[in-house]
Amino acid sequence: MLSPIISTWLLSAPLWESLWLTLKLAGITTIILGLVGLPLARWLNATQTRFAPVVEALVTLPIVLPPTVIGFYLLVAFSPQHPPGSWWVAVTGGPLSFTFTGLVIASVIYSLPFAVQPFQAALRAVPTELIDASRASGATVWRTFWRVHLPLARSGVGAGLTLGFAHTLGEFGVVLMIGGSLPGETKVASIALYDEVQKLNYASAHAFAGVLLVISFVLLVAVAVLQRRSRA
Amino acid sequence: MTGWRKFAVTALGCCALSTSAATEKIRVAAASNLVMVMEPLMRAFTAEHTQIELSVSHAATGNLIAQIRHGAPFDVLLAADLDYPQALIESGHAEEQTLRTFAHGVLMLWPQPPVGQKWQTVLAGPGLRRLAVANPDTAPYGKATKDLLTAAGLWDQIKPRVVWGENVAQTLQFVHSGNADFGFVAASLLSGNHDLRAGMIIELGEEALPHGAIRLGASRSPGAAKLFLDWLEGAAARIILIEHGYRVP
Repeated sequence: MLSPIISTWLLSAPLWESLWLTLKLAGITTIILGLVGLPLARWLNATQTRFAPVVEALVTLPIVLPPTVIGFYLLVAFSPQHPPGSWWVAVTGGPLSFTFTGLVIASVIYSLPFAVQPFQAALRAVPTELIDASRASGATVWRTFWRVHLPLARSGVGAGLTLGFAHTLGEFGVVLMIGGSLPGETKVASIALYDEVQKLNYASAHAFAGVLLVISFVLLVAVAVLQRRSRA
Repeated sequence: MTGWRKFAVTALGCCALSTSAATEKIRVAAASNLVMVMEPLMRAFTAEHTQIELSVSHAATGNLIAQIRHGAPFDVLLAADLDYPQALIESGHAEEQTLRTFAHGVLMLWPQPPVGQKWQTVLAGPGLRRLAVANPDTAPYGKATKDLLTAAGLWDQIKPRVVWGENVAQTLQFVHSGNADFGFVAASLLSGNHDLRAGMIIELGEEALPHGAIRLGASRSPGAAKLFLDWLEGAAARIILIEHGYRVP
């Protein structure tokens, strides 16, 4: 944990804590986005099934849906009073609402299209001859994917991962509805900033907003660099 | 075609009527817990004063304050406490002499604890997994709850099981959706909802949870705004407020 070295330089300790929590949430979400999103993007690119547009639309929905819709459905779904929330309680012993795990699940759903769409574009940009050559040399489909296809698409994949990470940092509406604002557990940066404004602590809100602005800007510059490189 | 024409004539007629009747317009910024009572209050007021048009915006009071300080065109603020209006007086955005307490909120534990059991016992018991409380730093009902539980000597024990609602309406929603077992909410939120099970009124005393009303410095209809503030303290408004789970001074 970073907590012991959390300082009160520039921001108060609770704000540093919420920033660290946000980075942790974005980091774990990004890892899962890679593990789920890359095979999904590859499948969507390759599949001939007529259900592909339906799956593609489902993955893209979070771009269009208001976060309040996702938050509302998750709040209902996480409720320990009925399935699927009650199944989760039966298996793990605890509910999903107001927990870090619940936020990770919400963030993966919420940020999925922001990662999968760049993944699809990056994988599509790799010349099929190279894939075919690998397959012809006897490599399995998955070995080809992990050892040939993915390394060749790495810049675009990096852009997708960075965008997924950055988008999770900006999450607000969904967390507001299912988080319960628990310090160190679900009180992420955007919620902490909202609370500072509510408390009329504009000075600390300014400092915190500035920190978030700089982090987001640096991440987007990274996305732009990676996307240029993948086009080159 | 005739249907459409009739519709168009009616619509135009309504516009003409409303513009000729309403000579002044006041915009009210109101705290979230007033969401149920504002509609009937506005209806009653405009029935009496047909020359005035009322519109209302609901948000957490802290957000409303930020908006007012940055030029939002509100005439009147109805807050869930007296601290927020005070902050506006200090920053020069509201008129101190117009501040008044128009209602007192009533805190409610929802749902009602099992018959024959004290709420203190139920909340301290092992059966409680999650208790929903509004954010005490920003929501007056949350602060009242924290003070209540602290005075009962239960705060430190219960705090690890508390989830924080952004406002008192969300606090109710956490319980209603089954994600929390109990919540401390505003009685006003339950008043219009007959499908909700009953709650238990928590006695905090006559002076608890004062709701302040104040005219804002930016008001472009100060006369109408003053009229509305005075009307809020009259008999008609008081009856509506009581019916919706408030106490009146």
